[in-house]
Amino acid sequence: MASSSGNDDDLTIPRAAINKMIKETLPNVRVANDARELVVNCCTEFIHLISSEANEICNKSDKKTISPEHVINALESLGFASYITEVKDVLQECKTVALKRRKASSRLENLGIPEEELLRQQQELFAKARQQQAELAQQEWLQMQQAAQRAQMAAASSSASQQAGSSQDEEDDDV
Amino acid sequence: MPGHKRRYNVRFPPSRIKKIMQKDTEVGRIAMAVPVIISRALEMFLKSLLTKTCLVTQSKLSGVVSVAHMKQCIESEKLFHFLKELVERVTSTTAQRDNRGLSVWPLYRRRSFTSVCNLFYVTLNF
Repeated sequence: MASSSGNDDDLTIPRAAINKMIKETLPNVRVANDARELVVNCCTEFIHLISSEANEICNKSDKKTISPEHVINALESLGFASYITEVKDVLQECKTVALKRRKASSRLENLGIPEEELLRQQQELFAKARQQQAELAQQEWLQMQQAAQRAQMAAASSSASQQAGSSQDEEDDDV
Repeated sequence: MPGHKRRYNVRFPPSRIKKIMQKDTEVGRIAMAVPVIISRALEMFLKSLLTKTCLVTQSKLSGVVSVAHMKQCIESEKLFHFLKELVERVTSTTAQRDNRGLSVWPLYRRRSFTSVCNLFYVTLNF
């Protein structure tokens, strides 16, 4: 997120998501604004509750990273065991998505082209680039030479014309 | 941001959930799937909280779900007792002046959340 209004301490679930949740759970029910605000804060409390318990379970295990398994055990120990079936479904979806992503990236790496062919293409591109650079350098050198020649000729002719027209200079002095 | 595709079929942003989790300095590294499954657990939790609160609203023959109804629901349901202090803070007279229900979770765990601790001391003085 590039722009952030509000400081770090006001970290909550977005109000819009909560409003949507309320609308879908209680269609055609009016909910007071301060009640909605309370719901937003209940989310934060719930997240901390689960995190804290999962963290303690994680610490007791020999792992350093809180895993989905720790979260599932936390739900169980906090009395939310009825959530576990659905949570496990989401976990399965996560694993499927991760697997697809890994496969896709390895497919992209190969692009169906064998490594030797990729190497050959690379060499070709390098050779072409080198050639272009050489041509460019040669052109620049040529231009420099031509410019130097012109400068020389200009200097030679101007000194010649200076000697010829020096008598006229005194007339031009008052301009 | 142009066309942000939803990577996972969850309702709440996993990136935001992760940030909220990491406000707790004790929480270290988090596997990628964790905020995603917490999003789903949160969804189920809210569904339960809202539905049960609405029952209170209906029992009061009210047309609008209010904070008072939520408070009654939270107090009557053991599973929601972790929200008791939050709702008490929100319904106290000082909160009505402030109208900011900041997280009271640290009170359970005694972590160092300076901003919340400051607010806590402020409310004690009234």
